[in-house]
Amino acid sequence: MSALLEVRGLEVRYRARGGKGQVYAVNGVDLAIEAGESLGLVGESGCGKSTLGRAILALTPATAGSVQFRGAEILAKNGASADYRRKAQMVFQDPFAALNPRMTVFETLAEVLKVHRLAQPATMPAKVLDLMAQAGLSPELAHRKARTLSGGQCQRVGIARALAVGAELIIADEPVSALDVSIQAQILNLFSRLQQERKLAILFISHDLGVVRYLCRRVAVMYLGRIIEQGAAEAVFAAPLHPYTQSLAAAIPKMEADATVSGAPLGGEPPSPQNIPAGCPFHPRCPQAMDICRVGAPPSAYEVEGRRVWCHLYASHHQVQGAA
Amino acid sequence: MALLDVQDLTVEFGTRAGTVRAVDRVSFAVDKGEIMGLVGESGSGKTVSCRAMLHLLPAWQVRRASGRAMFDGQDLLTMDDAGLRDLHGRRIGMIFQNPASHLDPLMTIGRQVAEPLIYHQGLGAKEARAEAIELLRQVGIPDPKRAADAYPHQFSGGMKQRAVIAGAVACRPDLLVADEPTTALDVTVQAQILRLLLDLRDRTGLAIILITHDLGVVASTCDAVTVMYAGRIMERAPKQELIRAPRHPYTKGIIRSQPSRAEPGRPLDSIEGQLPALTSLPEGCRFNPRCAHAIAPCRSGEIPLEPVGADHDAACIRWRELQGAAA
Repeated sequence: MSALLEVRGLEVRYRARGGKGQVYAVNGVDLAIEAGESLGLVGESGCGKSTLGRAILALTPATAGSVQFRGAEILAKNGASADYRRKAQMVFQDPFAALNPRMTVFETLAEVLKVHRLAQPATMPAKVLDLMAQAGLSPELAHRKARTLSGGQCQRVGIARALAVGAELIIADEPVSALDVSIQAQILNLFSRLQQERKLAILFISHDLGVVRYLCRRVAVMYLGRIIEQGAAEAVFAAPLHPYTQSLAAAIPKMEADATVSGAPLGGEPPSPQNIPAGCPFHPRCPQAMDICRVGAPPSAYEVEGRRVWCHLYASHHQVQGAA
Repeated sequence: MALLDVQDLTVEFGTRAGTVRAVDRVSFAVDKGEIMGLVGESGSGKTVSCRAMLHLLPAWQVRRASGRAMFDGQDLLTMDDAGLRDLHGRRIGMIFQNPASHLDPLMTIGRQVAEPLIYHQGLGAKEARAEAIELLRQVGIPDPKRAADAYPHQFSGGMKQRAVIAGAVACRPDLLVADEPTTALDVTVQAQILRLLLDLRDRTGLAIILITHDLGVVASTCDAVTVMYAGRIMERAPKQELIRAPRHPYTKGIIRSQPSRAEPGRPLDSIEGQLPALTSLPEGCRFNPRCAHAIAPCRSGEIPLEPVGADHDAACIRWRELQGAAA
């Protein structure tokens, strides 16, 4: 069975400001999502996770690689058809900024249906109310302006808007990071329900490993434009293989009574993508760096325990095509 | 005696919709060397309480700030500005969520770290600079000599926060108020900054009020926790006790809705409903419209904070019956 979305060798490169050199925001990424599957994409700021999400939707031009949706190439000229624009939708981090503050919930959703010719004026009210119900919005909010809604309500409108056009793939970029803790859980439950009921595929971009572990079956960890580990979420979080994933997992504050800050947190900070270190991009911060890591990056990922890991430590394992 | 003892702090703001009470009779205490977590969501009053105490709220906005905030025998709330200026940066330091907005972009890092030393301790420029370099070294900034001559834009977010901390602790304050100090930082950098705060406390006996919305941060750093909701304290307890045996349904709710503790595939225990607006606060317990256990008496009158264990208070009239019950 071929995947709903298949990304191969995707690269997004910018010319650096001032014309000095290149910035590799996304540097050869392979990933696949099947219908009804949720893939978590985690990493720290500047790792390229948002750029990758936008490039998949052709909102940011990719400089190389391919993105296929149901086998059809999106990045080719005229590739991102109106059909893809409907089927692949984005949900943003800042729910207030993603809505027109002066439009009501009804107007916001009706506009989408009208533009895509998905409802006649006669059927519009019923359709809008149905969408609102699916996103868990009570009908009395229909005539409220977006600016009077809370963050959680705005995010529900954003999700309803994606559902309006019959989305099959949602790219959600930090959709709960701006929400209060007691509201976060509501929105996560909504994503989880929609995914099961509507067989939605979700690329869930987040810096919060706890959220991803809960919501996603598989996870890809990104560092400086590359995916460095990819596999079943449970396994990746229980026993991370790549030294970066290990440090990331150790740095997450644990919600336990005896939790402490890990004794030796990872030193340094992610370097800027404008200045990617030679060799393995993680080696300057890696507690297990070897000589070979300073010389060159692994030629491709290794398959370890059913996961793909892009790290020299696993050089004795089977090599797979492409990055992790 | 506690280093800081806040009693019945109430803060009211004038808004177009009338007077709103952002902080309602809040009391807490912090001892020397203690890290006290002040936890809450937006509008809970956690930041406003601390800012009111330090006179950091715009005067035109504050209609009333009453109660007492005794710091080493002096009431911060009634203190004049000159008295506060003397305490700020010398005995009480403050750091914020966004370090960039608390650094002057046109002044070198070294000069900004040295400023409190010159102002409060009368150090000369040369001595202050040497001391600033030493402080930058202590907060883990590599090559502190060069860093002292750098400008804020040359620093990353984590480095800026380190520099702000260096300035805040330059005069060896007794109390540091840290308002979401790691929220804007990446997790690996967050761990570094939290480690640094813990080390400072261990080394100098610094007391810290850590304002945060992140229970994970609380669990790994704080000694005691105060949980706020819509301007009131819902519960306070030593950290381990609060996480092991929360008594207030709101505390139980936010702990249980943490995705990191949930089993994948099962629905999260979420708290239904929305946070109340300060302009239309519910009668009785502020949490009652969202509480699964609310009964008629929860909807009216005063719900006091009462002892539920050793050093453990909760503002719930049903805590006894609800022991062991889910959120």
